[in-house]
Amino acid sequence: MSVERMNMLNLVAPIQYIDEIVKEMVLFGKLHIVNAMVEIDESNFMIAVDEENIEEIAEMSMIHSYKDQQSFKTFKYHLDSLMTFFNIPEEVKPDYLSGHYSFKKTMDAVNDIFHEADALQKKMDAKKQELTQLDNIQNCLKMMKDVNIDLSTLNGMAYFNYEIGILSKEGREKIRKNYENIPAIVLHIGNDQKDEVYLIISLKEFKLETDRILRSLNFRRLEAPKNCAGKPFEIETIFYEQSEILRAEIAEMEKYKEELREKYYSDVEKAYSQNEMEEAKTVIKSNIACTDNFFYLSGWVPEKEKSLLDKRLSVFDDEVILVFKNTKDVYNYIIPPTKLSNHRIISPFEPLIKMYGIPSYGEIDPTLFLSLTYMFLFGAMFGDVGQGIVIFLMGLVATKKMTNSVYGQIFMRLGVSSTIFGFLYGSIFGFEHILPALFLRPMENINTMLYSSIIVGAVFLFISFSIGIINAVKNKDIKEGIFGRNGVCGFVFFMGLLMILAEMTISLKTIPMNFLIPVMASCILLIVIREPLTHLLINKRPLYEEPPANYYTESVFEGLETIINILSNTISFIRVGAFALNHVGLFMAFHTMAELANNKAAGILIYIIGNIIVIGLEGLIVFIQGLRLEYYEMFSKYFVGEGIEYRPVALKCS
Amino acid sequence: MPDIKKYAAINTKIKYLEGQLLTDEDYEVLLNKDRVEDIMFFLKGKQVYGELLKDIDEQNHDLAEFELLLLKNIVRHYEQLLFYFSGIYKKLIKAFLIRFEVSDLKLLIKTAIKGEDVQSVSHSLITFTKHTTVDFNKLLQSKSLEDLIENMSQTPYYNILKPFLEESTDRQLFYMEMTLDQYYFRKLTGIISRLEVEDKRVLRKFIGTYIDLYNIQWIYRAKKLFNITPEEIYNYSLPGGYRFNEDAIKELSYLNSYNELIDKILGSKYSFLVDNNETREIYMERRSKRFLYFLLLNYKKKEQFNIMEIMIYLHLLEYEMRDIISIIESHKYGYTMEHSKQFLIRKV
Repeated sequence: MSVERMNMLNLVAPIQYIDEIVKEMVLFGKLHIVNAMVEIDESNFMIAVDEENIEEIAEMSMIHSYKDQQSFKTFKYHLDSLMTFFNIPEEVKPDYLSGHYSFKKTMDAVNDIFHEADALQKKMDAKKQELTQLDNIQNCLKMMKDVNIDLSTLNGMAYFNYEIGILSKEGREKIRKNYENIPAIVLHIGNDQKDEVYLIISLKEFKLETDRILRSLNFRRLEAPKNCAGKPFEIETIFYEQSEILRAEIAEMEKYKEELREKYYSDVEKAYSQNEMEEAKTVIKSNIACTDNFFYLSGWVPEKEKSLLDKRLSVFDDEVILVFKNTKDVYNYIIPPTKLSNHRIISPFEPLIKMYGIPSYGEIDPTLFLSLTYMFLFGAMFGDVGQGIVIFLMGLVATKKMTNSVYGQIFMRLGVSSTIFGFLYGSIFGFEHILPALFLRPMENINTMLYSSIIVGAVFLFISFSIGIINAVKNKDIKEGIFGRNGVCGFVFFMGLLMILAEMTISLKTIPMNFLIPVMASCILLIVIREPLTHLLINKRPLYEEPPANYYTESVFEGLETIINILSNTISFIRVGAFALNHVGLFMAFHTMAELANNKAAGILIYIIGNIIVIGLEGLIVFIQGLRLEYYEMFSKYFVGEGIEYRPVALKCS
Repeated sequence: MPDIKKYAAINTKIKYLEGQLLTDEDYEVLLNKDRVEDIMFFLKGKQVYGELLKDIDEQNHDLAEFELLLLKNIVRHYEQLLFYFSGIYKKLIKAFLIRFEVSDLKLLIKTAIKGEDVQSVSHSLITFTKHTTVDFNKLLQSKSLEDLIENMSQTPYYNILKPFLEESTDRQLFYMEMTLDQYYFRKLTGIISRLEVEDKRVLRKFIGTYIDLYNIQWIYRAKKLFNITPEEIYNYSLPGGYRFNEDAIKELSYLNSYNELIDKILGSKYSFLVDNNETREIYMERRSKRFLYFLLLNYKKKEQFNIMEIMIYLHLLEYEMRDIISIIESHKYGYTMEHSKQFLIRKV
C-alpha cells in the first residue's frame, strides 16, 4: 500500500545482442525506459572501473544515440490493409513471439499475401463499379418511366443530343430567369425523393456550349441508357438480369476471399503480433546509446521484479553487464517514476489522485487516506440503504459493461458506504421511519450533525497535517515542513485554534489562554519570516531570493491568509452535516407531493421520480463536494503531486 | 433590443483580442524596416506574434513558412472562437472556415492540373488540421487530377467538381475555382438565412456587399480576359448581392461591350473599382478589400451586441495578416516604402 520501490537499471552489452536483449525487455514488460544519452551526460551511468569492464568504459567516449535504419512503412501499410480486408482483430499472441524467429521472413510473407489479396480486391472493386453503373442506369430508367418514347428514337437523333439529370433549386431558378437565352429544351420528367429530374435536348452543334452552361448550373448528369432500344418501363428487366449476373460473380469472389482468409489467418495474426513487438522494441531502441561495439540501456525497474529480469538475461552470461542502483544514488539527477501499488479494495481510487497529480516518488501514497475518507464523506452526506444499493448496482453494471471504466468500481464502493450510513441514519429510499436508526436521525438531531461534522473535519485535517509533516521530513524540507503554513507551525496554530474553539463552545479547559495566544502568534510570525530563517539555519546566502520588500509584502499577507484559511478549512466540513440534512429535506418535499397527490398510483410514481432525482442530482453534488473536500481542504495540506507516472514498455495484451 | 447577455462572454474576449491588433504606428515602423529579419524581430516583440513565431529563426527563415503561419493564425482564431458558440452560430463560424479549405483545394487542383506531384504543396496547406472535414492525407496521395477528385468522393466537393473533368484542360482550373467559390457562398448564405433577425440583417448587408464586389470583379474579368458566354457569366455569379440583385447581375452579364460595363460600374456605388484607367486591374482586388475594411471600421462604431463584433475582429485580423504578408512581399521585390503602401489593405 504505497509507492513501489524502484531501482535504476544500467545495462551494457555487445551490439550484436541488441535485438535479443531488447526483445527480452519488451517481454519482461516492467521497464520504464530512460534516455541513455541523457543519463550518460548527467554522469549517472556508472560502471565499476575494473579490468574486465575496461573495453566498455573506453568506448563510452565515442558514444552516440542508436539509430535504426529500417523503415517498415510499406510493410505496415500492407499489414493494416490485410487486417481490414480479412477483418482480423488486433490481438497480440505471445505464442508467436517465443524463440528465435525472422521478422524479415514474416514481412516477406505478408507482402506476398498482400499482393494476392490486393489483386482480388481490385477485381472485386471493378465488378462492384460495373454494378453501380448498371444500378444507376436502372435508376435513371425508373425516373423516365413516365416518358412514353422508345429510347431508340432518343438515341437515334441525328442533330440533337439529350441528357438526363438533376438540377438544384438554385439552378432551376437561374434557368427560369434566363430561359430566353438557353439554347436547349428543358423538360421536367419526374422527381426522385427531393431532387427534380430534367430531360435536356439540345443541338449537337452546340454541345460544347450546352455542356458548359449545364455545368455552370451544377447540373448532375445521370447515366442515360445510351445504347438501348425500347420504352423505359419495358427494358428495366433486361438491366435487372444483367446486374443479377454481376451480383452472383461478386458473391463467388467473396467466397474466394473467405478461403484466402482461412488460409492466411494465422500468418497475418502472427505478423501483427511480431510487428507490435517490433514497435515496442523501437521505443526502447530510440532511447539507447551505442558505440561501434556496445550498446547502453537504462531505465527503472520495480525492485521486486529485479530477480525476474536477472533470470531472463542469464542466457547471455558474462556478455551483459547489469547494474542496479538504489534511488538514493541517482535521486538528485533524475526523478524515479511512481508506481502506485495498493490493495484492490482501494486501488480504484487511484485515478482520482491522478486527476490531481501523480505522487512524487518520495511522497507517502495518499490513496489509502483518500479512499477511506472519501468513502466516509460520501456515505455521511448520502446515507440511504436503498439508494446506496442502487448506486452499488449501477457501479456493478458499469464495471461489467465498460471494462475500462474506473467509475464503476468507485461507485460500487461509494454505494456500500452509503448503505452502511443508511443503517446508521435509519433511512431507506428516503423513508425515515421504516428502519431503526443505529446512530441517529439527522433531521431530529440537527445540531449534533453539524457539530460532529466539524469534529470529523478537525480529525481529518489533523491527519492531513501529520502526513504533510512526515513528507517534509522525508524530503528534508525545513522551510515548508517546519515553518510552512502546512508544516509544523501551521499545525501548532491549527491545534491552538481548536483548543480555543473547544473552550468557547463547550468550556473545555486545556491550556491557559495567556499562554496559548502568544504561541499561536509566534507561529504566524515564524511563517512570515520562514525564508530568511531557513537560510540562516542551513547557512545559505543570500537570505532572500527576491528583494526583501517584495518578500515581506507577500508573506505578511500569506500569514494573514493562513489564519483565515485554517479556520475556514475546518468550518468547511460543516457541509458534510448540511448535505446529510439536505438529503433528508429534499426527499421530504417529494413525500409531501406524494401525499398531496391523493392517489396511490400517482404517489408511487412521485416516490420513484423523487428517488431518481435524488440519486442523480444529489448523488452528483455529493460526489463533487466530497472531492472538493479531498482536493481543496486536505490535499493542500499534504499532497504536492509532482511525480512522473510509471509507464513500462510492454505489449498491449500479452 | 440588443442581446447583451448572449454576446457578453465572446465580446469580452474580442475586446481583449482587438487590443492586440497592430496600430498605425506599428505599421509605420514595419514599413520603415530595411530587412525582412528586422520585421520578424519586431513582430516577435509583440505578445501575440511572439507566441506564434517562436519557432521561426529570423536569421535563417523561410518566407513561405512564415506566411503560412500567419494564414494559419487566422484559421486558429476561428477555431478558438468556435467554443463560444453552439447550434447554428457554430455552423456559421465553421462556414467561414470553408473559405480556407476551398483555397487549399484550389491549390491542390492547380498543382494537379499543372501535372505536378500534389505532395509538393503539402507544406502550403492552411487547413491541414484536425478541424477540416476533408481528409487531406488522402488527397495528397493522388497521382492525377482524376485521382484527386476521386479521393474527394466522401466530401460534398465530389459531386460539384466531377463534371469538370470533361472540360478542356486550359479551362478546368478556372471553372473548378468558380464552382468552389460558389459552394462556399451558397453554404454561407444558406446559414445566414437561418440566423436571428438582427444578425441576419447585418450579415446580409455585409456579405451582400462582399458578393457585389465579387460579382463585379468576376464579370469584369470574364468580359475583358476570357471568352465566356453571357449565360455562363450569369450562372457563375453569386446570388444574394446587396446593391446588385439577380436582375441587375443578369443585365451586366448580357452587356454587349466591355465599355458599357465600365460605364455601368462607374454609375454605381462601386465606381472606385474602375475609375482609374491605369491602375484598374493591378489594384482592383486591393480596392475592394479596402472598401470592406472601411465598411468594417464604420460598422465598428454602430453595430454592437450582435454577430458583427466578432465578424469585424476576424476580418480585421485577416487583413492584418494579409498586410504583413504584403509588406514582406514588397521587400522581396525591393519596392520603395510609398510603393509598398499601395498594396496594403489599410490606408497608412
